[in-house]
Amino acid sequence: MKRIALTLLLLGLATGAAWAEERFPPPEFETGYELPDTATPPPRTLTWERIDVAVLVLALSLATWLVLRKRSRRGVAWLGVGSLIYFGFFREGCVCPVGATQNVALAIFDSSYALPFCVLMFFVLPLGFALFAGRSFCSGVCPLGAIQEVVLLRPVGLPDFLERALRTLAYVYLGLAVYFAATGAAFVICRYDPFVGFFRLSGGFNMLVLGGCFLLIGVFVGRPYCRFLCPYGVLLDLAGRLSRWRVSITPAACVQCRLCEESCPYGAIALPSPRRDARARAAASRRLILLLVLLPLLVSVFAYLGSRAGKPLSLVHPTVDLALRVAAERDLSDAKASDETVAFRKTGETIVDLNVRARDRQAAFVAGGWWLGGWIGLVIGIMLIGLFTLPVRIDYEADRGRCLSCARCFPYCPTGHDRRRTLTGGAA
Amino acid sequence: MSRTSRRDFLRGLTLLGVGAATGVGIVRAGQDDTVWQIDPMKCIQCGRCATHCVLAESAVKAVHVHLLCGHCDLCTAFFEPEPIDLNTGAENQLCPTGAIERNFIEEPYFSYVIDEPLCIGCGKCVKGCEMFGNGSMFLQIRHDRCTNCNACSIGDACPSKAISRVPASTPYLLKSTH
Amino acid sequence: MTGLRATWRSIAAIAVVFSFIVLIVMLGLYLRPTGEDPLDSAKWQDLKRELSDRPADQVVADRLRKLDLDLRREYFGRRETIRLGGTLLLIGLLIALVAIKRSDRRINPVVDPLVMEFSARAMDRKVVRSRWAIGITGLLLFGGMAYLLAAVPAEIPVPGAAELESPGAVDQGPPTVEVLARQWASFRGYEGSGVAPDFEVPLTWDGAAGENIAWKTAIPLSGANSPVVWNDRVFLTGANEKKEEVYCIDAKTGAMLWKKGLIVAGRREEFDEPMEDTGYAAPTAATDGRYVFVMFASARVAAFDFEGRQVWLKSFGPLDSSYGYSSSLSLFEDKLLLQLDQGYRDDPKSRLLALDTATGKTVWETPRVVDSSWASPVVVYTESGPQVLLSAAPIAAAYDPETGAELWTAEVIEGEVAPTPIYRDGVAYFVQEDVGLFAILASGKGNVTESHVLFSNEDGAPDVTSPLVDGERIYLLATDGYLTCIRVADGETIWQEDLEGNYYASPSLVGDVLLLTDMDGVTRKVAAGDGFKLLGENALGEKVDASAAFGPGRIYLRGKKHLYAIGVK
Repeated sequence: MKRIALTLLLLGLATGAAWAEERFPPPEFETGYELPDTATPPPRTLTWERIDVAVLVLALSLATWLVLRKRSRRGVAWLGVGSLIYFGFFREGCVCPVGATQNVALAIFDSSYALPFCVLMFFVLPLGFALFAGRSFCSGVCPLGAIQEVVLLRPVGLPDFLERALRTLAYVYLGLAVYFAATGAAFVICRYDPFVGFFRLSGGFNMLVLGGCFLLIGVFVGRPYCRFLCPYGVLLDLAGRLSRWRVSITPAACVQCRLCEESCPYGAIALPSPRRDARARAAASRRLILLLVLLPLLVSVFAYLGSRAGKPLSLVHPTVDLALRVAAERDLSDAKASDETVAFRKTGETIVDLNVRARDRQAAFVAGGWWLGGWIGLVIGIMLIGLFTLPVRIDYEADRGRCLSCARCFPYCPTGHDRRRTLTGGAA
Repeated sequence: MSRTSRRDFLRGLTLLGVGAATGVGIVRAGQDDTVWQIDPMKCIQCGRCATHCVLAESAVKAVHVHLLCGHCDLCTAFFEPEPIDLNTGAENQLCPTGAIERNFIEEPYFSYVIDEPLCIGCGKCVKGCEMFGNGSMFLQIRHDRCTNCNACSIGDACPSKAISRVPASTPYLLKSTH
Repeated sequence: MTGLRATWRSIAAIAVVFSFIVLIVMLGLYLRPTGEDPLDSAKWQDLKRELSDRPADQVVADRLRKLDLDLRREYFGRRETIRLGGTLLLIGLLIALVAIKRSDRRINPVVDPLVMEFSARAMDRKVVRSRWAIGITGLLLFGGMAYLLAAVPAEIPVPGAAELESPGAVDQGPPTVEVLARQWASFRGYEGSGVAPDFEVPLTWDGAAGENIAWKTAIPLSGANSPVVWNDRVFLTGANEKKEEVYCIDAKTGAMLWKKGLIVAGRREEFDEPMEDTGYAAPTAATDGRYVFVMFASARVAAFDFEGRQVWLKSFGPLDSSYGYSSSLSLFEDKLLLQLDQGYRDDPKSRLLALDTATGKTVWETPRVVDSSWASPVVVYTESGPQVLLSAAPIAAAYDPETGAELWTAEVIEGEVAPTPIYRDGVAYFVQEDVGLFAILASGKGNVTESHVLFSNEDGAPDVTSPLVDGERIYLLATDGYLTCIRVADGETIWQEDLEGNYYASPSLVGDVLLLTDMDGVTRKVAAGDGFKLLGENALGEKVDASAAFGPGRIYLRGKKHLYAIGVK
């Protein structure tokens, strides 16, 4: 930590002392020629960042109100489009809460990294809202969600097992993103953001193709990124499970008409559970105890594996990568000098010092690997345990964690006024 | 303990945690906003600035601090290593897009001005100036173009890790005289 | 109603087809092989080559300029086209989206109430499938991680570990010159040069924070002597007015392998109390891989084997040396060399001695007509054979280590001398504070004062530290921190720099970096070169008088109380 701070300090000094060489002394002109100034256009984002936070609060409140109070699908949908235009196309997608997760992780593990205020707000506010009112962020505010929401034209339900299996990926991705951010290696969420290229109408070929694939799949499979990859979605999911108020499909009492059963393109409607006899329940609780005993074992195995995978994963870190490049260049006769090694030699640092720094980073990766592996084991274990317990649910409910607050199910419910309005609206 | 009260308890706990973290975060938050910039002393002109920006037209451009410029007749930032003649003919120019204007000032001095819209940030002129000249030309991230991504994709690709965040109040790292 | 929907459907179809065409064109643009910039064109480069061959050909020049313009137009045009295409694609897709949504019938999915999907059995089937899915996902993740650790090599070598892991066998005969050149067997290493062999050592450390400190071991008794290193053993000594001790430390772990006091039979001889800065244990030990030889201010010399058994002990005291005796020991094959310059040149007490390493018996003894000296004898290997260099007023002198015969002398030294001479490429360098630096060609015979002195330079001569030569430049570090760089070729001063701190430790050279450790334990890294460049500072957090020593993967710095090994744990 101290070393990083020192490096930053030295960087700070270096910026003040960036001197040019004077091989040819600048001339004094006799004709009164005036040197042109070097233009330094100022950064344009600073005041906007404050406005972004304000818009975020506003949009979150509006989305929450529209979903929970107004129960308006149309309102939420248009709010989403508005957010897509503002946060996506106008503000070009940065910074977003999904990416902010990494800044927060880095700030926790690297005390020399100063977390910008607005990034902190972007991370905290949607989570705070989710703790009280569910994931209204996902439906009305997130530009990544909105762009997938608008392309969803022919929703196809996924089989339950596939849905669950894919959902674990988001947990793994969250683990990896925090892991790489905390070790200072990279912000992988930003590096592999599939949609930011569209927001800027410009981007690398691979990025655009990746985004195109997501959108194409998104025509049929609702919000593939949100459900199966989004790391922030995992946090919102967990926060949503604790929410004070929740999205309810019906404004009144559920009559179990099953009309909403297929209405959710995101697989977030939990069906009533079948009745079980006492014997089945007893068997289930015995299994649960056994699994709870086995869970620490699973976590430990994964944690150990994670720690061992730490070294290979550390290749993502530029310092480790550089150390191995330099070593290869020294030891292998056919290795070619790369830009990286050329730049390294320019710094005058010794190979040993570089190796020492790289080993220090690798140690962080190995230490973090225990946590990463343990997290993956825990996720798999808890998901399995969830599948071995017997749910007790009487009505059709929006799953607290998975529901994206899109309000699509509201018009399907025959109770209350929503249904009537949809019918008359459809006839007009 | 019922489901609801358990949920309330956990929520309270989470809120407490998130609140405390936010508090610490606010206290420790950077006083100044930061933007990306290239440290010209670390830059090795690998050419990736031209190709790795998320913008099709890179936010990195060459800048010229005229105060440091030797105003040479044979400018190694402007001319090919072995120019046929010291004139502005395309065959003599180093810049692939012809983004440097060369104008006569007085004997024997010439001015070299970068036409920014044409500059693609490839750094060829910078390399020439650095190797044989005063190093008065160098690459900088232009903040009228930079979208200030959370993770700079040129910075990720930069072989010398010359790109870092600097305070937004001093958004450029210009070279200066002693 | 239906008509309107049909219209939307047509619009949707048109928009989809339009977007598809734009997409194909864009893909084509993206995938077409082009260089990174206009001048990557092969045609352009051909023309350029043609023009270089015939610079006067105006036709080729015009063609090239035209092509250049076209290429640039195309480059910027392509960029514009992609931008336009992107916008068109966005608009097309937007229209398609709206139109498709408009043309959609709003029909709620129909659920067949007869299929009772939520029967317990159906539910169980689903759950079982899900369990398998999660289980398989877990296995895949497990496999992925296992693959990573099995198939992706990412080992970064621990600097110096290989050498530390496999210490060479303790040699039976006297070490060869090649072996000695890779050891730090006496004061300032091979030839007393202060130049580290190419060991892998980190050059950045922080003693207080423990950064790159492999270990730190408390040394019971203090001493101004430096450690000596033989493979994985580090030796140093400490003494006070009552006790004289030898320490052997494991280079890998820092464990004190043994600690021995000198076994002195009979009556202890009285001798003058040395000055505090010199102390009772100023002479640095020497080792030949079989024995370690130690000497103290009392003029007692002893040999210990590597297991810590005292093999022999000789006493040459008391010595007539103001400040206290400080010359270090030197080795040549099976002879231990000690310099006993004492009193003044008119007392016939000064002499150079060679002791048999196995028994301590005197092999030869050469009287010297010199004043007291605090410099150490140093064995160097010249083209005409090995020489022992000695510096004491009034002569810079060289002796044959085999026989003790005087080879050459130069009457250039005055006053009190502490800096030990150095040698490089046929030239010996002697330094004394008042007279300065003398470069003497080592090939002479007899008195070479008039014939073989290449140059002298009075700038910045130190009174305590020894000089260092990197082949092209000599570096002199004065006690007050004045660092002088002198060119070997002509003896001219290249630069001088006033460093912070005061220095007793002699400079060392690692690669191209000079390490200069001041009395506060701050090591300044200075680039060896024709210009002064401070590369950085490392703090040890403890006062340092002794010169640095080097071993595989380690730099050894002796603080007042501890021995520090700088390296990777």
